[in-house]
Amino acid sequence: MATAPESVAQALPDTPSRANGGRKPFFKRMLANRRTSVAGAFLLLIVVVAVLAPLIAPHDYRDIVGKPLTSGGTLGIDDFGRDVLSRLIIGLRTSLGVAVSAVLVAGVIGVALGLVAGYVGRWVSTIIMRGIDVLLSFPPIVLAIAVVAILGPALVNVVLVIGVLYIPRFTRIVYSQVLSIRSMEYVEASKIMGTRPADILAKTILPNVSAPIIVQLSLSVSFAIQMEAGLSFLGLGAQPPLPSLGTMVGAGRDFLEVQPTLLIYPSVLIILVVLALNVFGDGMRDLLDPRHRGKNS
Amino acid sequence: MAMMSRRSFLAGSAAALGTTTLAACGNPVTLPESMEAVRPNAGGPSRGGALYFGLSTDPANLDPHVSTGSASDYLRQLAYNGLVQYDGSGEIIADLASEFGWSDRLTYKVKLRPGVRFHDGSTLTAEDVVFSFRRMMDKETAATSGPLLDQVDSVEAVDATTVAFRFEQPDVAFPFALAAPTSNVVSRKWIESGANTKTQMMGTGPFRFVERIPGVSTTFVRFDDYFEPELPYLNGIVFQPMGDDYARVTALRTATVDMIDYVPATHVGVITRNPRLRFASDKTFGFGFVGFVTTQRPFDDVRVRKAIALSINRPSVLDTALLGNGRPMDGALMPETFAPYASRLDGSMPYDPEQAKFLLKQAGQEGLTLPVVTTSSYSVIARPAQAMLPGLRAAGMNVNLTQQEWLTFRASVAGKTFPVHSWGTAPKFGDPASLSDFIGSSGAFAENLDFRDDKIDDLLAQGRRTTDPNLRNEIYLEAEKRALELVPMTYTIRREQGEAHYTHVRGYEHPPKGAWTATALRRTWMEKTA
Amino acid sequence: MRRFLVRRFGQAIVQLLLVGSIVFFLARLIPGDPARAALGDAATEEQVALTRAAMHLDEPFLGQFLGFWARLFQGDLGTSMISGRAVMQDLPSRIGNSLELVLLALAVSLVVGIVLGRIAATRADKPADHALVAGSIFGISLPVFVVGTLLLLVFAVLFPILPPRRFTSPWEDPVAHLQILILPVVTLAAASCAVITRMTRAAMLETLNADYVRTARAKGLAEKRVIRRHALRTAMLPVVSMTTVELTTLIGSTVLVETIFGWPGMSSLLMNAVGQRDYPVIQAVVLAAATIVILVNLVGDLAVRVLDPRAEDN
Repeated sequence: MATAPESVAQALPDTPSRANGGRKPFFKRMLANRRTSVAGAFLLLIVVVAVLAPLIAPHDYRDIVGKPLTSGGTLGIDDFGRDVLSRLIIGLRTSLGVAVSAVLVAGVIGVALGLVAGYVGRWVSTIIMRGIDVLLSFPPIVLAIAVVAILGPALVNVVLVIGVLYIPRFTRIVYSQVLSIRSMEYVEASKIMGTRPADILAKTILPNVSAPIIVQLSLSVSFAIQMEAGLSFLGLGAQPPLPSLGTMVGAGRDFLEVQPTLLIYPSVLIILVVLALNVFGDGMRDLLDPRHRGKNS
Repeated sequence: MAMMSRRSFLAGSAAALGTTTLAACGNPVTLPESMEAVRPNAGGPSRGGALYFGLSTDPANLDPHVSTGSASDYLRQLAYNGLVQYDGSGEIIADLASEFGWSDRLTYKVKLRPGVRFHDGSTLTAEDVVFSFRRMMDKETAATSGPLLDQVDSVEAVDATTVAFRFEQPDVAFPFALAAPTSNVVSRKWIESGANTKTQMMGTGPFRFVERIPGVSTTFVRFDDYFEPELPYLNGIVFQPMGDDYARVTALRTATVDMIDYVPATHVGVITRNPRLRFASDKTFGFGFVGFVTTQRPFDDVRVRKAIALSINRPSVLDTALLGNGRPMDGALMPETFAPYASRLDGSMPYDPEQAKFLLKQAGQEGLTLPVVTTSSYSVIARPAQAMLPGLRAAGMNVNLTQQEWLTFRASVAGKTFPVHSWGTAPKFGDPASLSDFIGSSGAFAENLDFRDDKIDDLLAQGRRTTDPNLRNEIYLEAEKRALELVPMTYTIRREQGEAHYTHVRGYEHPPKGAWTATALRRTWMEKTA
Repeated sequence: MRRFLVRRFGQAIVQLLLVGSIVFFLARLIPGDPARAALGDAATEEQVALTRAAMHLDEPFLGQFLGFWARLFQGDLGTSMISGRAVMQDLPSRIGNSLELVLLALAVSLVVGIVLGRIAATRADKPADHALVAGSIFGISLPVFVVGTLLLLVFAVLFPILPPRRFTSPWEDPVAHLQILILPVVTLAAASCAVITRMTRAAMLETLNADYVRTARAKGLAEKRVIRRHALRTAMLPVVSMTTVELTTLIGSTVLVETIFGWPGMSSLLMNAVGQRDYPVIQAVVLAAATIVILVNLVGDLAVRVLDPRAEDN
């Protein structure tokens, strides 16, 4: 570390963790980074709100509580006379639930496929990567529309569709990363030492490709929120009267000049969640990356 | 002025100024610049100009006899004529006919105007008329007017300019069948020559079809040999498909187009507040309804259906779903504009959740869970479905609302996959005889409900035979009363529906009596001085 | 390299066969059929049944399926069941219009994204970096239809600098054509630009910290040279593979953008066809889109091989 020129330290993001030394426990290092911990705290808050949504919401999200398109309640009344705050809280729960589940589906399957394809190679990689190509060669929204139309518009189906659509993102990134490190010394060394392939994948390769996966995870949650919004916009996502942030943004579009907050509030909430996810993802990357840790210890 | 500012914006590029270019790559169709010029006419409608019309759909099938919805009728009625048409006040007047009417109880005769020419220069004959109606009555055509013509026993040419329709029993609704926007007269020679009626149009209408570029435009130019003197005033009409509500309204507000159809309820306010725009609408024609599959438990129990009908808070549905742009519908299906009895049924279906609870209890269906399907494709259908939920919950019912894309929804409704559907449509024509589509056993909408009631069928058949207006009125009143008792469907709201255009567009009238027609566009003109 | 190309082309053809077959069945699995779409909502079941027969929809699936491929191999993409127009009549110009939008958006987002990503990475943790990260997150998190709607509201309604004009072909009036391109391209590029910025930044930070880059630095190479020769080049790898993914996303996003701006591209052709269950059109457009995407992937793979000699196929 001491030999690194000044410019390297500048080029590295979020240096405090390093400055504080790497031997401290993980959480302590995380807390030491103010940005990451603020983002983490916000995400925690969001998750708590989402989980406890029905208890927190001041009104039933389906009830008519006032005159449509007026400023009653805390954040106003929507076009159907319902409380906007309550619908934001429930909508947050819906969107987060769908996005996180979908990205978990995509991440687990996608990363596994990418690791196997990249490490095993040969016909296995051909089958996997061409399968991914077939999946990628469909226009995603059209595939989603077709599948949801066939399966019926239910949230579970939306999770499945978004999950499947995002598999290629993970598989391709992991695959190209694995290809570029497969032949590196430390992987070769593990092979020679007779480590089982599964262990090499899990212990040697996975940590080394985790940085882009983490970036991709946080990005994908935001894409999933958007995809859910797009599907909801087309009437295939959350079914009314259940709100999601996407349906709320889509519905708010019609009242942009009458009551712009109907569009602004859910949009701002989406942006905040995505911002937090990204900052947190960045922080986690810096903390998790073995190359960063290696340099500190 | 609006048109000027729009076009002069590109003043830097002379090519854009005043030039109307509408083309896709490698497929240019240009309305000459001169077409946009308007010649003022002191005291009368100006001549010239090209009207740009933002249409809610991109009608793909141009067949004269098959309609996919009201938007496609705009195109059809520019290129083709029927024998009769609706005038600005909704009365049936001549179109290709010079004289028309019942010559006896069972014969309807139409005498044609002399010297009417098709766009290809040939002259209209009675043979063409006979051919056209036989084509509509041929089941293979699947003509939209087909079911309206089911009482016609034969159609034949009496002489070169007279056509006779013969019946086995009187059919009071027949003139409405003739005035329908899909009862058009085509050239026998043209069709028999193998013309593709889906992609081409060739009629006697005031405008000649030039070209349809899917997704971009459908263009018409003035037919100079049109039989009505002076008409049409415009040099051309260009329809541009704009399926997205917001895009369509924006295109109007930015003067990209002069006129749009299907103004969404959520934007009526923005348009009516603009002094340069005019909203031409009605509150009588389009309506929403909730239909029940009357053979599926527990909806085979009339008390359950009635309970649901009583739990819909119609004024609230109107205020929220359509922002008040319409009228609640608590009585007859037919509007009073053409059904004089209608007001006598007002208030038959009040909002009464207590009574609804009572009926559900009687039927042993307290806390009933209601699977309802609707379509997300049209906000005028989707929004009322959402807005009725609080009322139903107040009566103790749980609603599982499923929104489906249009054709999936149609398949669900036809396949009766959901016991309840929330839909919206309009009577086919402005007469109570159009009730049969909804409550007659062979009606397209009644088919979806498995609904058949012999008494209603008798009344509808009687109504169609009866010429005495007072008697007819009583007959249809009885039929509607019975439908309100049996509740195969319950009506929710009449929606305000209409077109919006700049005030420099003149002469356009929205069909006033709830009889859908698009002939007003034939008489439209522009007073733009630019 | 030649063997690689031959094999990849073989794979591409197998992929197309798969895509074609999948879309054939997928389209027909969606409830609702074109016969109902061709008639109005008051059509009776009898009329629908007759129309269905006239469209040959009663015939066995297998026969329809084989017929589809047989015609395709003769170069016949079929005729729309609704409009009666040959698909070939509309498809080429629609593809052209869409590609114009997508490629322009991609070009804009690549140029802007890589430049911004590089700026952010080399100024990590400085105000410029924070601003760029925040900006890119803003771009990522706004749904496409909100961006489009806001742009329309601001630049067309409130300050009519760029009113939505009629579609004008570039051959007739290039200036007017460019005018109508701006808002859709910006809408489309916003999200992918943000993604590419993020990816470039992340990948560059990664490589800037890699051992060989540090070695290069230790050897005393100028910082600019380090960034350009080593860091940027390696960082381009994930960007290249992201680009191919991004292109598919863009082709997908055009569905919404073409709707909002009334752009006559292939997405709107497809959406109309899906809405009407116009099977021949659905098949043709999806196959065309798939061909484009598969070609793009092919080029992407080639680029990865060129950029990174270590990444051998097998």
